Amino acid sequence: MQKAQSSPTKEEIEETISRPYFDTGQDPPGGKKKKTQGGGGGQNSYQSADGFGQLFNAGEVVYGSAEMGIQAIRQNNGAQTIGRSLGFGTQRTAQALRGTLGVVSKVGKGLGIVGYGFQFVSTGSKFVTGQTISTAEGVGFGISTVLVGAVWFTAGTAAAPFVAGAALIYGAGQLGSWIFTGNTLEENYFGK
Amino acid sequence: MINVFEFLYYSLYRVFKLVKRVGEKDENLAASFFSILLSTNTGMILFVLRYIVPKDLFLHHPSYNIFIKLMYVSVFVIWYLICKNYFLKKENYLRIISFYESKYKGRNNQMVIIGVLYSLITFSIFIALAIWLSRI
Repeated sequence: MQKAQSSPTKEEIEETISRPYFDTGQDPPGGKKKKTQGGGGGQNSYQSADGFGQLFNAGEVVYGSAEMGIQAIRQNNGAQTIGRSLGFGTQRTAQALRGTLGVVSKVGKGLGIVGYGFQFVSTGSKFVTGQTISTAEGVGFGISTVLVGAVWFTAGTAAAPFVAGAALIYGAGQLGSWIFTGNTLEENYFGK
Repeated sequence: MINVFEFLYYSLYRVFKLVKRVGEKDENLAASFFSILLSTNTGMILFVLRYIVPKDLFLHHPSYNIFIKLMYVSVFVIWYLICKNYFLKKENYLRIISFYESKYKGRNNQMVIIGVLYSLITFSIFIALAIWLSRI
């Protein structure tokens, strides 16, 4: 005979109410669940489920594209070439485009620093709220830091487009990984 | 304290001065990068909150998580504004650079090493400390 399901006690109801919404209260298959105290964001709050973290990657893509565009204009005598290809035939058009790309590059760099800020904020708040920082998160933070440092150090130099290219590839990879798998590149490699 | 603050800014300025740039100013780059480093340093100090704040607080009041995030954001913004205002708007960078250029004349390499070490140590200690302490 199957045992009839009894109604929950008052204590059980109170415990369920006080539990964060993501916490089912059950141990996952394969072992005991790690206890966390974080509210709101939960274990995935760092990068994978946190859209804010992706702002950094978007910033890298914007910055990388703009810097590479500027470099392409410089290298290919773009002022005349672009002016002609756009059909206006003026150097002024190309100069305006170059100026626009310069602004886009600055915006991208700004987004990059805001994105780094969010990663720093996520790591810090996750630590303070008693959650565990995974290896993937550490590696992601390290790569982001190196990229931000490289972007700052090479700003306005001949090496900027190369760093921009690296930032573009990494940022696009992260965005793609996040869109298609819901995880970051590091989480796919190292696990969560 | 203010001497350390200005000295670290100067050492970062020397790092950025290593490369010739077009359309970017070394003092601006040093000021904004310094704010990132100072925020990271302050973030490490805030780690003690993990041991001060009662653990159940975050479990029963998830809004405190948002409060902690906002606190970290404000650290970042405040340092950015302080650096921009102190070094660039008040044009203190002119005084600091000329003072340390004369004080440490011919010791540019040492300044560069200090600037690089400060950056590397700040970032690596932040993440290493966060990973290590979170697993204890």
